Amino acid sequence: MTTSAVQLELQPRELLGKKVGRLRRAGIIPVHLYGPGIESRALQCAAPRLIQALAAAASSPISVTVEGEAGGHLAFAREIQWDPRRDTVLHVDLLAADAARPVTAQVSVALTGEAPGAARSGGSVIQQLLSVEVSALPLDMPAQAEVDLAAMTAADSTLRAADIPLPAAVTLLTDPEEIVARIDVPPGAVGIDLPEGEPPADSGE
Amino acid sequence: MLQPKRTKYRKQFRGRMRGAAVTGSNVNAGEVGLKAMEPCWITARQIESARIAVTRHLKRGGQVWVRVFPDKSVSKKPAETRMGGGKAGVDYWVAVVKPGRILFEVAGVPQNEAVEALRLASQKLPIATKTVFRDRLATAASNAVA
Repeated sequence: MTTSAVQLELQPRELLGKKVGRLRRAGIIPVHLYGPGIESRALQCAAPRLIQALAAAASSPISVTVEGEAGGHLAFAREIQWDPRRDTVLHVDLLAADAARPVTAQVSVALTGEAPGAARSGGSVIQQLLSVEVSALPLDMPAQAEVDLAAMTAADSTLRAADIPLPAAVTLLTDPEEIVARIDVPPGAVGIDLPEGEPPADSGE
Repeated sequence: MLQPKRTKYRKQFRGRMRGAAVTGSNVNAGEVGLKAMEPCWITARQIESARIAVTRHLKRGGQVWVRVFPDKSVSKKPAETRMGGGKAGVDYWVAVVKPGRILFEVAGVPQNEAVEALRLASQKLPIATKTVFRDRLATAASNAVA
């Protein structure tokens, strides 16, 4: 799950304050880079490139370079501001991190596969915990934590935070007993008979 | 129908609905959400009607969250009443909705079923809405590629 950092080149920004509206209209997103030991920088990036980098990185760090400058920074997307109406990115805060010091971050939990218990009971899998807090060195930080639902064989089985497979370099800070996913069986639901050990067929989505 | 259990004051001013939703514009709990694109008062009846449309389509499967609550009282004078005599009694309750507000969320069902259920819910509402997904970045990235 350890990922090499996504590369992103940013340009220095001259327009500040309310004038950044002009940048947004031109398809450029204002970015702020700050962190311990570095001066706060007003930067910018073309919207498609920035969004793709943020989507690819998720909770893992981004290797940021500034145009015309030597050297780079490892940075996490600290805050992404969204336009509530259009669902477009308005502004991104990047927090620079020291590669040698552990950081804590919220890592999103992704459920993969099918839960045999849900198919047998006619229920559906409900994800209760969307992200977990972990501590790791920046380059060891996973983009997301994937959990296979195949272990949910019974109708009343639950997945807890401790069941999430994390690399050895990553420490889970969330309560290990917290429920990540459970099977919700509505009253009167009709399940299907599955032979033991056979995964359920695709539901034809 | 939804309404507050008790209130500090029975009757309220109408107020204004300027700007976009500051809070409640993210899909938090579910996987798919229904987002308001216009400002309006949504009545408790409309919320309940939309909720029933979603649960009926999902055949009581999955999970549905109602993200708005009608906490504003609206007063109405009886028919054929002369003006004056003070503010009338409370007639119904509304939720003040601004553009960008998530109204409903659905999880635990295939995405196409959730989208269809929310489309049926939007038919019960007096405003334009759109379906949005929890992973905004993935949606924005796919739009950026297209």
